[in-house]
Amino acid sequence: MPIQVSLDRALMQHLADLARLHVPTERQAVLRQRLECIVAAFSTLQDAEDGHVDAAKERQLELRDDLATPPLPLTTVLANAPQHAGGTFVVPRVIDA
Amino acid sequence: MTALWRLSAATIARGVAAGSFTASEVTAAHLARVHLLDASYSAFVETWDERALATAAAIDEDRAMGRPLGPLAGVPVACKDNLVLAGERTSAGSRLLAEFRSPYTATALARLQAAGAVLLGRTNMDEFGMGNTTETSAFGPTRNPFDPSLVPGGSTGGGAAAIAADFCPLAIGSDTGGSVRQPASLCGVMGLKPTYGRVSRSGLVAYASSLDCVGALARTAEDLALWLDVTAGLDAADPTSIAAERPATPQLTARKDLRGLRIGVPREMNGPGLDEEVLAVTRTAAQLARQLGAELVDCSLPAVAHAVATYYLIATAEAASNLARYDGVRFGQRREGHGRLEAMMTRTRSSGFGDEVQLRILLGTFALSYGYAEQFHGRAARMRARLCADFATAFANCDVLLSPTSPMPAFPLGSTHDDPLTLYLCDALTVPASLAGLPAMSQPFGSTHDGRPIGVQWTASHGRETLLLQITHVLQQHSEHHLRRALP
Amino acid sequence: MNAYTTVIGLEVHVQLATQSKLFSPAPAAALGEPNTRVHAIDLGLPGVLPQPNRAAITLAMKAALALGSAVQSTSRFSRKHYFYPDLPKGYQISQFAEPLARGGAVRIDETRSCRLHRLHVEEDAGKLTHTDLGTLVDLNRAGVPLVEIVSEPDLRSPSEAHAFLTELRHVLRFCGISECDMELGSMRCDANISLMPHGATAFGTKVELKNLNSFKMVQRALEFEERRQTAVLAAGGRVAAETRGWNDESGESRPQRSKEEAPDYRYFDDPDLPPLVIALADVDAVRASLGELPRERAARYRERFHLSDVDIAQLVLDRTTGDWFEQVMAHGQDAKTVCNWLIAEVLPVLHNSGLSIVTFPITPGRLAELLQLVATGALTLVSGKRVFHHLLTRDQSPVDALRELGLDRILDVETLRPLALAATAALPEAAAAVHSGKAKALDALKGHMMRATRGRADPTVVDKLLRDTIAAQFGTP
Repeated sequence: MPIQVSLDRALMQHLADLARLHVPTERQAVLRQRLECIVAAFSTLQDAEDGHVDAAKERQLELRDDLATPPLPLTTVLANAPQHAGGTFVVPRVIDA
Repeated sequence: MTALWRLSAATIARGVAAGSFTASEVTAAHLARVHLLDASYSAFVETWDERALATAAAIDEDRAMGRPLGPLAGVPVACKDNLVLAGERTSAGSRLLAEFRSPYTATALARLQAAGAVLLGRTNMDEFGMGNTTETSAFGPTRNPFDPSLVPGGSTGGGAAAIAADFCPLAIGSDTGGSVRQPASLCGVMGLKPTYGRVSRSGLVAYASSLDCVGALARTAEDLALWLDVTAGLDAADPTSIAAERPATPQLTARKDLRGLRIGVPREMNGPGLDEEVLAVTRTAAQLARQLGAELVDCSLPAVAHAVATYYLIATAEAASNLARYDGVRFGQRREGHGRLEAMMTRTRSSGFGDEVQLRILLGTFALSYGYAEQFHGRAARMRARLCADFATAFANCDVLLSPTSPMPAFPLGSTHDDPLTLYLCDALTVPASLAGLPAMSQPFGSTHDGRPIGVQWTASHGRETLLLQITHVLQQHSEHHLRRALP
Repeated sequence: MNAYTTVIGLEVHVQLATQSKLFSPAPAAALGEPNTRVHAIDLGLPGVLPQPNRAAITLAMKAALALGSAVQSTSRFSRKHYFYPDLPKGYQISQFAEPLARGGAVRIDETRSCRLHRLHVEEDAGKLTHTDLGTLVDLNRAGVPLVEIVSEPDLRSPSEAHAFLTELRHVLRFCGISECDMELGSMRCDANISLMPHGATAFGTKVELKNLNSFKMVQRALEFEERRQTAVLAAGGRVAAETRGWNDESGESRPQRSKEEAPDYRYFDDPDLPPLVIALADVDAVRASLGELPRERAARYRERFHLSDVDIAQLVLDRTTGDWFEQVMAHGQDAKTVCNWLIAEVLPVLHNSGLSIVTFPITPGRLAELLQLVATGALTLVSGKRVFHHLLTRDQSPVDALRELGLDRILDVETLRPLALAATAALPEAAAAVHSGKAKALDALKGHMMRATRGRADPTVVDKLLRDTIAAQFGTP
């Protein structure tokens, strides 16, 4: 069964909103072309047999001991901050707060 | 005497240790060459002259005081702009990170420093590694030293150009879907992508976490072995890192020829659709290997046909996630949004990321979004498992796989802007090893009729970097492709 | 009479009591000056990777086992994506499709319990403060380990929700898993509530309640919501699927967002973190380290020490109190007496001083010794309590203390005889009354002697000595 994706303007806008990106109208065409390419590529493997992910073959998570190390100095924490005050990062006020 | 900038890393390390020349002389010679020539190629985004000369002077002092020297003492090394070095800028080719300075150093660089390497500067790259021409860099494109009208490949185009132009004997890169191997092929140098996890990713600006590998470019297998030995190994800062194998350098000369080696030639990676000159070069390599005693065997990797689509779904999904941290809150070039939080984040990202990065983030967001995640990302994960199974089957019958590295040789700058799909196909032969986490190398083995370099790719099973280095080393003893220089 | 059955489910977040954060070695203390408990990992700087903390996983396993949940042999960390300034990476590392544990239950009372759906591990977000200058971001809390415990919709009233939380907190505190302080934010709760007609099997439309900052608020918000939904349904209306925020001052909740706008979190397995594989032997080891649970301990105390439920409730409030009680008992004392002393003397001192019983200045051995002195009559109860308070500030044995206080009993007749003579001389009418057979009058004489010895005179010796003295003075009747 081929995968049906309606790559309409609403979907483009939804993806842009999710990703916090602004996609100008002229870029939407390029994005649609690429999405269609991937969708098409996947349509060719409808009959291809999937593999399955075998957890037993994956490596396992290694855990570290619970030792606290000295944190970064505050000046280092804030060194790359676009805006900071009183030791905190400052962003435009959250409206729904 | 040969110019210092012509020497291999191993020769420099031996010379510095023996007192034939000083680390300061070596460093100065390389920096002088960069400053003389790099305006034409833009391999480097920035050189760290003061830091490099100070490191070199410290190594010379160590030697004068009789203190032990590291295995790479005095060797100038170029670092891709996506490996963080405490105190220096790291931009990953992005406007968004133009002024970012990391408070910590990548493990891959810290281990080089501990081995006495002299970090020369940061090299240009496609933004966040997303590209294969180095044209998506916010700092402008890098040009191919063999012909400045050509791309150097990417995303480690700066590093590959730096080796090709003899700016340094060793360049550190990263390879997510071919970003070390493909530019190595297009610039006529050697490139190694180790087994996934072999080199710590701590401090590597993430593109696609399950694929990203720190790799290196050089002229000789010996130099890559030296690099791997000082860099590889478990790292507490990277939960996906794996333990080092036995050092490769002492085993490098164990083989004098290729007798007993079974070389698999996967049909899907050596067949039609590839440039005829590229295929001819691969046949040259196969022939020499057979003359040296190797046996060629036919093999098949059916899932390779779906590798590019699989790769793009997985890589872009992980990229969309990894790049969510660039929101203008804690670091990065913020763009205000009329006092509104959401607008600030959107403007920061839309103006900070280039077009290619934005497209891949949107593609990745699509692959993970509600209603599509299972058909796309989930399906890609299963296809990846199948590709791994294909490789396992192939390696049951051979030791190493041979194919071209890139379907085409270097092409002119700007030629792919309107055709992103061609760009994606550039990765067709390199993404399979990336998806399976296998070690792979690109080795220069000839050129086109008009002199553009062409490389071949060797792929081994997990953990067998040493085998790759041995094979390429033997072949280098019996051929001169790697000695061809781009510049006088 | 209400025509509806209330259906409530809870989602509880609990901070785990670790030294360092879930994925970074920064101190896990969420307090302190802003951004002073922060590692490069917590800032989400380019190139950082998570470093998972064993203690967080162990504490989460303890929580699971204490609640009867089944720890899964393989679980996975996933990324949950949303943009917010308190979330440094743009995603939260959580568990989604494969949580650490499934199932389990929390007892609500002797007959009812509430099943648990799942328990998973995730990282906390930072803290935002909204000012005129803008929103201020403090990342001290970012990355502190949490377990999220999700109940099944088994609760049938706001008071059952309250009882669920009380019991959950008790178990988690008792096992040293979390401080579970809702005021300090180490325990947080969201509630889902719906109504359905009595006897119905299909649940009604559920509403999610947020901003519930104490057990009382949980109960009040649920009670309000119960009334609100009842009114909507009784008027023939339909309850909207939405998230509502509780405002405790106004005593009302208000809609925050409707379920139709539910965010798309784009979960996927975190490629930086291989699967968490837990061997059965590891589960057994954690179970062994868990020790006795509060209910098990209460049953044992009832059985072995025959204490009342009220007393036992005090003893099992936390593990150390009961441990201390048992250490005193190990010296062979009467359980009820030890319990009385603990509740009446020890706990108030701890309460007033903020001390932990572990560092209580009187060791269990010394308290046992003191109780022994009282039990044998070597000390009166009053003197015993004086010794107790004396020992709070001194490193002494009870015997040394009572000597220093001069509280040792005077048994010697020759020492007491002059005092008996003084008593009869001071109170001749009382002495005469005793002689004439009014035994009650002896109390005044005894009191005189006790005052003179500050209570140290042995009552039995005094009694006999006074009778002998009076007999000698007045002659044998």
